[in-house]
Amino acid sequence: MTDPYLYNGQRPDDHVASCPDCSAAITLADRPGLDSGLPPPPTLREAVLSMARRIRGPASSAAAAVAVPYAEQVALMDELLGELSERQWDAPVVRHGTVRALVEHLTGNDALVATFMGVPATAGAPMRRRWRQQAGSLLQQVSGSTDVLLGTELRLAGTRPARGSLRHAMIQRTFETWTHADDIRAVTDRPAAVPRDEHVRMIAEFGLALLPRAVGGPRRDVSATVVLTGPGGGTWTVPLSPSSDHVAVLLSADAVAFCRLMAGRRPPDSFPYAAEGDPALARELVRAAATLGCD
Amino acid sequence: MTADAELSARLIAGDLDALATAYDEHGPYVYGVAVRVTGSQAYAEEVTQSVFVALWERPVSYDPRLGSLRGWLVSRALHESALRVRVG
Repeated sequence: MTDPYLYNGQRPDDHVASCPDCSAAITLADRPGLDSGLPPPPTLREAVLSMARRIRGPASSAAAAVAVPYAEQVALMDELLGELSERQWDAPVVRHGTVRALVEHLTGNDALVATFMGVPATAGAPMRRRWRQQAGSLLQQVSGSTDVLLGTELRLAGTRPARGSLRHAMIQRTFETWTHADDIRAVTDRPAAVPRDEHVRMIAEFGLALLPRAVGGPRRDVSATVVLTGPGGGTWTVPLSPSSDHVAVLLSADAVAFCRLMAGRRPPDSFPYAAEGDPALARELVRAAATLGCD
Repeated sequence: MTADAELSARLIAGDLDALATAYDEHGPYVYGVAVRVTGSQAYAEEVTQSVFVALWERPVSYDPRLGSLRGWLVSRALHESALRVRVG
């Protein structure tokens, strides 16, 4: 059964003012007194949690590992969109036209995963609500996913055709939501934001997994070791073919800057990195990394 | 991010500890309003349970941009209590 109060997006005070039952209840309860609490019986806490657990199982650790970072970026984007003036919604954004068109683009890319998860499209609502409703429903579905479902392949967003697991698709949603929130911050004079270190690390690792297929040219039976420094940093050895036999290059760069390079927000030609080994391969890897965005 | 927005994100991501936190912080206010309106401890417990379980079941229905989580929970408790009183 649909409870209109749950879904109509009203502020609580607006609801209470327009609901005859609530108005009558306030008379009964004497409004000023509503602010004072009354400790519930101690047994009620466990009863609430236990019924909640039955109705919707908590996320497994594997599901939480991808749901929590995305939920945080969705919450940050939602706060940001809620602060925008009507004029800022129409602010010009490179590649996508306006902020509104950018959010529409993000909603479209989110829909690739949302549709896969059986989330119905939200039509007719204002742009921010449409995006948030879909992102929230997607998150809720993913939070209930099994490990098997998290490993199921689907199409990833981006200009190059790529497939990845649902787990990868969710990391990509976190990555794209962060990237576009920073796009909006940039055109509305707000400082850029960076996800938590472990979330940056997860995004960098996701991109590095896609890197071998993004490198063009003849197949090389070598690996590259990538050392990302600063918050979210780490060291990864990326085999460029299944039969890679030795490490041909060690490439080092800042982790957050590398994520922005992958998003297509840093030009590869002026991207600062250090390389030991094959310098041509290092350049090629940087160029390939710059094609992993979702625009 | 506000504390309510962070809690909302954790609820949406399926973190049951977030519901326990919400209950510990706001339970007395939800229960308090339910007792005042229904005049019954048994009804108030049902209303409190229903309000928190609804938050867990459909966490996206709480929109942090439209007000505080406590305000949302208390007004839901008020609404549900009012329905109980009317039904009797």
